[in-house]
Amino acid sequence: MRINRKLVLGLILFFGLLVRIIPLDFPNFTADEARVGYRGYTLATEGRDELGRNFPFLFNSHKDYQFPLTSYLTALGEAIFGKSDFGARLPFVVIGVLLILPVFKISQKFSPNPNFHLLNAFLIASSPVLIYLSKVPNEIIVLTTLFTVLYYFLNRKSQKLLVIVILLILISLTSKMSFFILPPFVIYSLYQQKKMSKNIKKFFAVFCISIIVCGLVLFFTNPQAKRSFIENNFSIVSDLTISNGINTLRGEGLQANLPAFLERVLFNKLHFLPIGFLHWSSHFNPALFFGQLDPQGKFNFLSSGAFAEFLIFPLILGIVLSVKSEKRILMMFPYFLIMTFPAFISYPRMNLDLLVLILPFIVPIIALGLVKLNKILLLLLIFSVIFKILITLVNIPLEIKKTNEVRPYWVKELARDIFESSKDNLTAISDTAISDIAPFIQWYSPFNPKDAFLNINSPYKYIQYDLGKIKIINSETKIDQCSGTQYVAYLGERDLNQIKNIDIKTSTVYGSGNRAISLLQEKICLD
Amino acid sequence: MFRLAKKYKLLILMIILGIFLRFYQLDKFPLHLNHDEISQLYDAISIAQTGRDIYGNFLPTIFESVHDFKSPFYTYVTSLFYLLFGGGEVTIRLPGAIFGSLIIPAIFIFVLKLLRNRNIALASAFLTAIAPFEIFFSRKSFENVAGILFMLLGFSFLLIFKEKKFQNRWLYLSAIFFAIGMYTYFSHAILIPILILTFGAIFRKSFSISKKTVLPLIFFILLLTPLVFIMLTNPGSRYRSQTVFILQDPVLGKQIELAKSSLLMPDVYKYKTIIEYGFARYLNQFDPMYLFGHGLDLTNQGPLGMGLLYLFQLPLILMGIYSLTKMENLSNEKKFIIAWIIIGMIPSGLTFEKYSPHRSIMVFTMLNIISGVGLYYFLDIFNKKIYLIKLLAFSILTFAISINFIYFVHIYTVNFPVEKSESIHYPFEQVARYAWSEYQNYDQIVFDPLFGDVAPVIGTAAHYYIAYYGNYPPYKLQKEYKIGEKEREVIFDKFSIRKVDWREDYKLKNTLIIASVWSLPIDSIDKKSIRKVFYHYNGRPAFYAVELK
Repeated sequence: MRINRKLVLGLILFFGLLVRIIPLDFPNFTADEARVGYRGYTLATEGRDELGRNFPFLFNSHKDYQFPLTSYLTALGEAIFGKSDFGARLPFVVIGVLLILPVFKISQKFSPNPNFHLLNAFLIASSPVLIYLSKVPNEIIVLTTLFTVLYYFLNRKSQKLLVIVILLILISLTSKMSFFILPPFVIYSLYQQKKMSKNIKKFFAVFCISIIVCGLVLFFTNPQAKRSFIENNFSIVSDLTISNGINTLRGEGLQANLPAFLERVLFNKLHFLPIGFLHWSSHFNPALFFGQLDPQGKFNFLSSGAFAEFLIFPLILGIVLSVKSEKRILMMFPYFLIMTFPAFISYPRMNLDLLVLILPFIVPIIALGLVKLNKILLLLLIFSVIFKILITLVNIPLEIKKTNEVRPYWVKELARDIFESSKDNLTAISDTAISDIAPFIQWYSPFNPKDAFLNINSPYKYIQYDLGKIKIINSETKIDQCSGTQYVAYLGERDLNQIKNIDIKTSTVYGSGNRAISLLQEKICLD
Repeated sequence: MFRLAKKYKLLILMIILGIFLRFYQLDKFPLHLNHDEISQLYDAISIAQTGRDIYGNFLPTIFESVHDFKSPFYTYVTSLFYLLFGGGEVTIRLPGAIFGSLIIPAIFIFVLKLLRNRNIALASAFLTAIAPFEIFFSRKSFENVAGILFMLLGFSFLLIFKEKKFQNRWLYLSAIFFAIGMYTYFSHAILIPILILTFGAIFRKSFSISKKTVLPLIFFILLLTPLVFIMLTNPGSRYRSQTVFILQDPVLGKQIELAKSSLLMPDVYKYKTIIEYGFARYLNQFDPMYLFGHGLDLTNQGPLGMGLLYLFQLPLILMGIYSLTKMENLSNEKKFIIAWIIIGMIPSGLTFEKYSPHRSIMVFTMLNIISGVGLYYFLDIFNKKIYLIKLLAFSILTFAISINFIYFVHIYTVNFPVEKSESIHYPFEQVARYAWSEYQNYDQIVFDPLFGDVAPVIGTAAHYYIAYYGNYPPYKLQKEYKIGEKEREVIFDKFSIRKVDWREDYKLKNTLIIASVWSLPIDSIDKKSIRKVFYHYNGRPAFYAVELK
């Protein structure tokens, strides 16, 4: 039976869109995503970020600096659709769906078989992690799409120069991580490219390196840049587990009266290399791809890998086939190493974002295995993949409960109540429930951005504790009953302990367990 | 004989190296008998002397031991060694070291028959001789090593049977070794039949069911009948399976609770959760950091430890996979290798521990073989190069092997005892010996085996340590052993092994209490009444002997 390729591709795109858009308000935002959502709104309406800076290049986040592209994309969505889930998420849904197209086009390079192309598109459309990340404001999905499009253009003839140049710039604006990946990625792609003249190749290589150098120079004008680099990108050097481990093991040898020379040879700073290497290679743990990518539910559905479990078998088959006869697909393997390389130096954090980047490059291998299966088995696998996504999406309340730790659902109600309370009263909230609660309050309520603008130029890992009439209580804040400035208080367990000797009753309780927040029936003072 | 020795001199050298690495200072490394070793040793002595285990069960098919219901093979083998060599500590380790040494020639034969390449077989045998997991598990008296040996022999004879135009004696030999392998370890009883069926399915064109093959098959089934009977009827076997099953994992437990609270098809989501969790756990066993970084769990220093395989084997395994894939022939053999790995990891995927290397040894064995293939092709590639490149490649390889090996020896002999003294139950031997030395001075000796450097753990085999190091006759222990009324109390002779509750126990008279800080308010106890302090190997206090007059 002859299949209508365009129709099937259209169906795959529709399926991709559907699973990314329904339900639109899932998953709940993390603090960082809420911040990006809110920032998009302030950029779109005030021309300032959440801290009041005019169209900045580097943005603040809980962990590290954020590069500009993601925030401005969110701003674009919210400029059109307003401060809403739809406005904040839509640009990423569109980018996530668009990713299907370059993968479909790239697959044509590897095989003339139309089924193979469609399978590539389907695998991208149905990848749980790509679905998940297309539903929240984040830089990974943007970067993944940009790298895939760049790969596509770098493998075409040279007339698309301008497109490639723009793409390179966009990629470098997406994240600091791209600085590490972009040059080897471009150089390896150019090396593979046989149609392009050597001069154009040289031009691109030099241009790409120049962009990175410019980006780095620009980045290092920031006073906190060096710290950000060491803490987030070269953490293997600053990680104390390794240094302490080296010293401990060496000390045990010395205590056993072994020669100091031997101990120095066996336990020294060179250990950073094998550990970095193993950490890097751990990113190829099959469990991440076909078991559980993220045990917290920040990057993916809690119980899913990057692909459905059953697809591991076509992957194995695809690897065997590509080693045996499909040299063009075999040439994709170095991309995995190039694009995950930053993991070498960022121990002990698993760089799940790097794994997402390589998914479009793994897809042809799985598809290669799939096309070799007999039709019934193939259909069964496709059906199983769709079934797995649907059965997950059909029970969203369960997914929400599972990811409650990093994506709290109850915080919406809390944020709105705090905002309502702050209209007439000074209001205080403990930071015990969520360490960075300000973005939630700002995002989930009609908060006035001007109330939280600060005079701060280079914020690094800055957490807001003062939102005008709303104060956030940290571990150093003293709480008591007094007659001075009084606050309506939403307190967690830690702060309730401070006032356990005072007879104050609580009313509404938000959340549960040790992260529960209680509203006090009387006002309190902060010191 | 001489010609044979000359032909196999490399293999013989490897076997000698393997024997040396498994037997040298076997009594000293590991430093101390752990609770598995002591319980199996004393039960073996008990069996040899009385025909019963310490609980009085006559020739048990499953040993209750420390309520972990051990498979019987290793204990019975040890009882034979006891009859030959006496009841010294090393007796319990001898069978493991012997089986571990025999694996080297077994690997050679298996690889030779499977891949039909003598050099690959030699490379695999060499890597087996020096492999960290092989040395580690061979020296700590672990029955799984024996199971792998019999499994390898069983498949080797099956391959010879195929090669020798179906001479039936090979099939009988194969059946015998498979059957012994299945008796050695619980998971092997399931895995071996699955592997045999897989082997049969893969090589189906090479075999046919005929009168000739039916007889050995019946013979095999007959050999297994008692095992099936034991597994189906002995409650200990079911208890053990349940206690180690993945459902005991607390993280999964929480997820199941959430799934069960789902308004939509709670049962479907419950099973979905279990399957997904189990599959992720299964795949996690292939994490390179675990396999090559810290899988043997010999230190507490995070990534600085020892993997099940050497780090230099990682590129060799990749090379091995590449070479095997590129090989035009041996397609069935390659399928069997993949099946072996896939099936062999199943037990680890189904158990509650995040990683359980002792359940996946057969997979590491196969990874060793694949790295042997890689080593062979590495040497082959560089053998054809010019002298300088060849020299450089060999030097790098030799350096990598040497440094990895020295590092392992250091970690195993120097760091492991210090870092993991708690997991080898150091200093239970000293406690037991001291208790006996004070035997005459007290009416009662109370020992609370709750101890731990960082967190409290219960040393479950305390009664075995005391009985063994006091040369206590097993028949007497069988008679005297009883469960007391206090929390986790075991009583025999003057000894009460139980939880110490100081609020009550300080009133006891003429009693020696041995317990850790987890049970004793050591700062408030009169220093004069502390008769002795027992230390972990790392020098931190483990137990205190407190005298109550």
